[in-house]
Formats: sequence, C-alpha cells, structure tokens
Amino acid sequence: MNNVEMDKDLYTDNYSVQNKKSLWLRIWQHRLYYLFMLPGIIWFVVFAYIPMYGLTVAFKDFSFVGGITGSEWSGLKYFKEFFNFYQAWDIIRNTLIISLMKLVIGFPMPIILALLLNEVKVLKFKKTVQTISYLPHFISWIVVVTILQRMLTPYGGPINEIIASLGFSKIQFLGNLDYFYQIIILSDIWKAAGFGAIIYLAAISGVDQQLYESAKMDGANRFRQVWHITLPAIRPVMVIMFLLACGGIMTVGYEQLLLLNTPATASIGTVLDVHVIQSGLEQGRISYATAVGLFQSIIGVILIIIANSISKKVNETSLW
Amino acid sequence: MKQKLLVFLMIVISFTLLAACSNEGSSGEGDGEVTLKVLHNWNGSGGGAPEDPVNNPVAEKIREETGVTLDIEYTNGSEVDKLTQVLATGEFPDVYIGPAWGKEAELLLEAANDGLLHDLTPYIEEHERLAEVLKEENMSVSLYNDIISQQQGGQFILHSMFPATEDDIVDWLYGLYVNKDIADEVGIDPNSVQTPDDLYNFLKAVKEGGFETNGNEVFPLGAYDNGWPLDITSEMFVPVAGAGSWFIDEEGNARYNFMTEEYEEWVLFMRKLMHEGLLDPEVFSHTGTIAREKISQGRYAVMPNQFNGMWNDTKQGGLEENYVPLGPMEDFNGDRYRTEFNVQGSQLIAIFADASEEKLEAFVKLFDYLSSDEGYMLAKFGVEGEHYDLEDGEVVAKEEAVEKINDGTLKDEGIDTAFLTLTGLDRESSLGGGPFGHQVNKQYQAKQEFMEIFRQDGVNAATGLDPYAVLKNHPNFAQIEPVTTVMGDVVQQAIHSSTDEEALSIINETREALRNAGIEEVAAEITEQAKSGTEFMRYRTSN
Repeated sequence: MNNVEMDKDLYTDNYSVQNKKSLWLRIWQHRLYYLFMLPGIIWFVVFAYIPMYGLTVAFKDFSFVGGITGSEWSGLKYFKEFFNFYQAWDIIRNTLIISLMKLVIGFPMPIILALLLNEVKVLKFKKTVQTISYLPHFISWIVVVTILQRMLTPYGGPINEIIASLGFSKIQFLGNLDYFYQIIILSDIWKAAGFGAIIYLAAISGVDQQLYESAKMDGANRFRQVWHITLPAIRPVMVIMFLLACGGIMTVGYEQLLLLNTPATASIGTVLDVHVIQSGLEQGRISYATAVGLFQSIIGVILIIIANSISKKVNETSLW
Repeated sequence: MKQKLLVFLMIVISFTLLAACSNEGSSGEGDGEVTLKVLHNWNGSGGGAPEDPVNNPVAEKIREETGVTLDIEYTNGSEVDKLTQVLATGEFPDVYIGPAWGKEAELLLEAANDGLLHDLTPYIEEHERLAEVLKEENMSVSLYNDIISQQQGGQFILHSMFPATEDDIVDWLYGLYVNKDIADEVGIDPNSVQTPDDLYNFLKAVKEGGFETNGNEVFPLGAYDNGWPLDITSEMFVPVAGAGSWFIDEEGNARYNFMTEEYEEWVLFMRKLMHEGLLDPEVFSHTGTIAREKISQGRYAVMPNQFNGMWNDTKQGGLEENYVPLGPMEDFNGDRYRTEFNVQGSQLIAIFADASEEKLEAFVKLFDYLSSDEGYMLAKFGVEGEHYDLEDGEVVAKEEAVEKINDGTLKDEGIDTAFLTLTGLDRESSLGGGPFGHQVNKQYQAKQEFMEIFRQDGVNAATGLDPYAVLKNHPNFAQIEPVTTVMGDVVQQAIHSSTDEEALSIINETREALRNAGIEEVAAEITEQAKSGTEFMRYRTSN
C-alpha cells in the first residue's frame, strides 16, 4: 500500500467517524424534535412492525396451542385454497371495481373541497364549513350506517318521505343493486373528503402569495390562478397522496362494506376485506385469512412500487 | 416551561402506547374466597344479566355456600368470533360457557385436544353430579358422537341443561304467528292456512288490505335480523330445515338439501314473496334493534318466531295478546302436527388450563353445588321463603316475585341468569313443577293454549345419527366446508333476485362448486350407510 492510498483510507475513516459523530450530535442538538417523533415510531414498531411476524401464519397450519411460532409449516396451501375457491375471482373483481371507483371519484374530492375553501374570503364561514366537513371523519362506520339506514328506509325515512311528497314512488336504496355503488362512494366521500382536505389546505397555504399578485397583474382571473398557480404548487402533495392511495387498491375498508353490503348486493359487494374477516373470525380459519390478507398487502406493495417508478419518470415526484 | 410541558406530553403519549402491550391483571383471590372470570359466550346474553352481578340474593347465597364469586363477561356478537379471538390471542378467562352445537362446539373440542383446557377426569370420578351430566343418555347423539367422545386423553368438557325427564323438554313452540285483528279484517281463519299457497294468498290479502299502524305500513311477513328464523318455513318443503341439512327418503337415498328440487322450491317461494312485496325487503339487512322495534310496533302481520321471543318482543308495544298461531302449516309430507325434537342440552362448559389449581377446585365445588337440587332451585327460582314457597312440592312464586316477573326485574335478583347454565340437568318441571310463576303468569297460560293448537299429536324425540357427522368425517370435507360457509348468503342472494331464472343461476353456481368439491360422494356414502342399516335422523322439527 503506498502513502497516498494510506492517506486516503485514513481520510475516509476520519470522515466517516466525524460524520457518525455529527449525526448523533445533530440528533442530540435537535432532541426535542426527535422526541416528537417518538410516539409515532413507537406506534409503528408496536402496531405495524412487531405484528408482521404474524404473517408467517399464512404459511402454517395455525393451531391454537402452537400459536404463531409453534404451528406446523404448510407452504402455499392456503394461497392455493383461496385461488381455488369458486368465488375468489368475483371477490377480487368486486374489490378492484369499488376501489378504483373510490380512487377515480373519491380522490379528487378533498382537492376540490380544499380549492373551494381556499376561495372563501369570509373567515368565519370558511372555518365553519371546514369544521362541519371534517367532523364525519370522527364518526364510526357503524353510526354512519345506522344513520343511513334511518334516513334512507322507505318506511318512515325522511328522504323517502320527501320523494313520496313530491309524488314519486318510494325507493329501497339500501340492499339494492341499482344504488349500491352510489351509496358506497357517496358515503365514503362524505366521511373522508373533509379530513382529506386538511392536507391540501396546508399545502395551499404554503403557496407564495406574490405569484397570485403577479398573475393578477397579468390579468388572470380566479379560475386561471387556481389552474396555473395553486394546482401546480400542490402537485407534489397530490402525487404523494395518489401513490399512497394506489397501495390501498386491494383494500376498500372492511367496516363500510361489512355493514353496507347485504345479501341483495352480495354479488357486487363482497370484497377481500370482508372475506378476510368472515373466514378468519367467523369461521376460525386463521391461516387462510392471513394468506388472503397477505395477498392483499403484496399486491398493494407492488402497485405502490409501479406507481412510484412511473411517477418518478413522468413528473419527478416520488415517495423514494 | 412550555418546552418542559411538551417533553412531558410526548413521554406520556409514548408510555400510553407501550401500555397497550401490557396484560390485564388477573382476578383476585384471598380470604378463602375465589373470583372466577367467566366467559358467557351467548350473543346478547348480557341483556338478561342482573344489574348488580355480585351483590344479588342468588350470587350472595352461592358465595356463602361455595366461596365463589363469578366475574362474568357476556358476548355481544358472534359466538364463533368471540371464541376464535380468545383461543387465537391466548387471553383466556377461567371458565368458558357456550353453545353445545355448531362451530363453537368444534372449536372448544379443538382447544381441548390441543391441551388448552383442564382435564376434569379426576373430579368427574370423584363427584357423581359431574359424572351425571356426561352420561351418554344425558346428551344428544350428535353431541356425544361429534364432541364428547372425540376428546383425546381426558374429559375436558362438561355439558349442562339437558332435560332430566320428558316433562323437562322445553318446547320453544317455533311457528308462524299472526296478528289476529288483521286476520279478522281480511276474513281468513288463521287455522285454515295450511299450505304454501294458503300462506301466499293470506299474505297477499294482507298486502291488499293496506294496513297501517301509527301511520306506518304493516308488512305482510317479517322476521328478525339476518332473516332469523325465516328458514323454519322451509319445513313445508324439506324434512329438516336449512340449506345444510340432509334429505333422506324412505328408501334411504340421501341428498344435500341445497342440491334438492324441494329446497329450491322453498327458495323460489321466498323469492316470490320478496319480489311481490309480501316480505319485508329489509328482513336480511336490518339490525336486531330495528327488527324488534318493528315487532313491538306491530308492523308485521305474520312472523316466524318462537313463543317466548314473540311474547316478550310484542309485549314492548302491549301487543302480546294480539298474536296467535297461523296454521300449523303442513310439513313436506302434508302432516300438520308431526313434531320431533332433537332433544339436547344447550351448554358446554370448560375451564382453561391457565386457571390455577385453586380456581379449578373452586369451579368444581361451584358446579357440584349448583347441579345439586338445592343449587338448581336457587339458580332457577331464587331463595326459598324470599322468592318462592314450596306447596305440595311445587314452586309457588311470592307476590313480589310475580311483580318482578311482570315488570322484567326478576333477573336483578340473580334468578334465571348465567348461574343457571352451570346447574347440570334441567329440572324445571320435574323439580319445580313448571316455569316460575306459571300458576299466575298470562304468558304461560297463552303458551299452553298455543301448544294445543300446534302439538295435537304430541311431541316425540328425533332419533338417529345426524348425517352431518358423515360429512364432517369425510375426506372431501375440507373442500366442501368453504362452500357451505357461503351457502346461507347465496340463498339470501337468490331470494333477492328479480326473476326465478336469476335465482336459479345463483344457486346453480354454488351447487356446481359443491359438486366439484365432492358433495355427491358424501351423499353416496350416507345413502350406503342408510341402506345398510345405520339409523339417521331423517326428520326434525325446529326447536
């Protein structure tokens, strides 16, 4: 080894030690901010990472006494069982249809709401609307569905009473194939749009006001300002939110579907999340349910990776 | 200051998150008294629990006699869900009490054979009353064959509430009940309704009558959540109700109900009722609360029900005396009065292996006491002299107790609550002379009147092996079971179809899946066994 090489090695070692030290030093310097991250990190470790070892159950014959670690390995038996199940492809199709509808129709809603709220100049009114719109997020699905049942029932429900008073015949909304998708999508939008708008409102508030001033001077109207300034400014946030939504395409939310799906709508309303709950908890087929759940997650990860790389190439915004 | 507050807040949040991983402390023991944590795994049973579960006359007397206090958790939701959760998470109670049938019983057997339950063999040998509940003659053939005799390496499960004598067999009096005022209005005698066509015409007449109650439309036919128990009407078409039962003809040829034309006729009959607005369209989708609300408001002209359910739920609206039997309907063979019950006990009881020896012994002492005549009388009728007197060996409720029966507060005394499920053989009639307060209770008198209408040929015990046992032990079961689990949903889906063709196409898709899974081989096996002399249960009245 010559001197130059030795110097280079020493330099690299010193640099990495310094770098390491400086990282810990920087963490210590900003310890308060790191402390703010602590509950989040603990949450992820406890509720997201530690339970992951439970996924091995998908490849085992789960027994109550053996538990997750002690049960016998069974390979891909439960995955095969799922794909051989005569309703498997119907369930996957139903999941994809509802999910894509939620994505296509539901995804733009918080953005539209945020843009509309941003245009409201009366602060009191804006805050009131914002509060009312995000409150449904905190109401559980069981309450939402009970309200829907009471509102929409043809037997004394206010919606149908109005329909009847206008001279039309009453409509059986729930448990009706003709109205199933509409109710699923609209109730989802009603529950999620307000809360989802918060992140876009935050992004909009970060847009440089001088841009609007310049646009005004150039003669741009409100719509043009939104189109040429606001939307491009919040595009990175929109893309990130869209990428995350892509990961959830195979999951549509078991609570909503479990509660709103009825036998009359089962042909289009039985989705993977409900199938997992029914086979795992109602039938006690833990390994099978885990296998189906894992399948959902794997597809979700693949979709995120694909969407992320497309986004990286097309508009240079990506999750990683 | 602000910074310190924030740091404190973050630490509190972090610890709160970590606290989620900790276990709850176990119930205490001391002073010779033991508290047993009990899972009473019956959906909604908490509704019948005493207001003060620890300090009521029955609980106090039990504590005095055995030193045991019960800390009971009631299930609210599916029993199978609950037991699966308990077994999968390892969050065991000390004592388990639950249904003696279905997937719940199978899961408990699995837990027993996996070593999760205490072996009670030494105690059964020592205590006659524990041995009594496990005698083959004190349980149904299916329970003995499928569960009790399948335990490996010990006796882990106790059984309770099997009728001690023929008089103790409880007739739930399942059938169709009709609002007699509506029947009068449409001018049809309820007793004249006997066949599916009669029923259809009756419901149609009700629909055309356009009845209303308090401004709300009256549905010709309705039921509880998930359509329960509409499927008892399938007894008009098949000998044993339900898609998953078996139809074995006189020659011994076995067919799975779901695969038969007769069951298909029932599905199409129900579809017709639904399609023509004769059946409440929300019957499979409304909640139990909404269903009970409709029943209490008298919004069903006709409903399938068991007597006590019908009486108690219509009583909420003061309508309990308005409903009378419709029919009885003819069975698949045209017989109106044939009644054969599967005589069975309702409870399976076990103690989890995690419970300490002290708790195990306390449980045995408790069960031994409660299954004595004294214990049974206490749990069923309360404290002698306080709640009842014995006259000629028969229980006569005291006036205050009768008042409590009428206003629904008898449960707060601890009478006829979860304690009863630990009392061994059911001796309501043989020991107490009949239901509590029956001498003065209108409900009991109405039931007697209705029994005269429904049970003109008396009641017989259904005998023979349940063909389900052959299915369960067949090599094809693993492929068949996943299809059978969705069969109920498929039937409901078919009932909601807009045409017969659509309904048939839905049914046929699942039939095809059953065929592919090998249901016909199972049918052939049952047929072969039936023809070579195995006695199968071929007829069963819902009870």
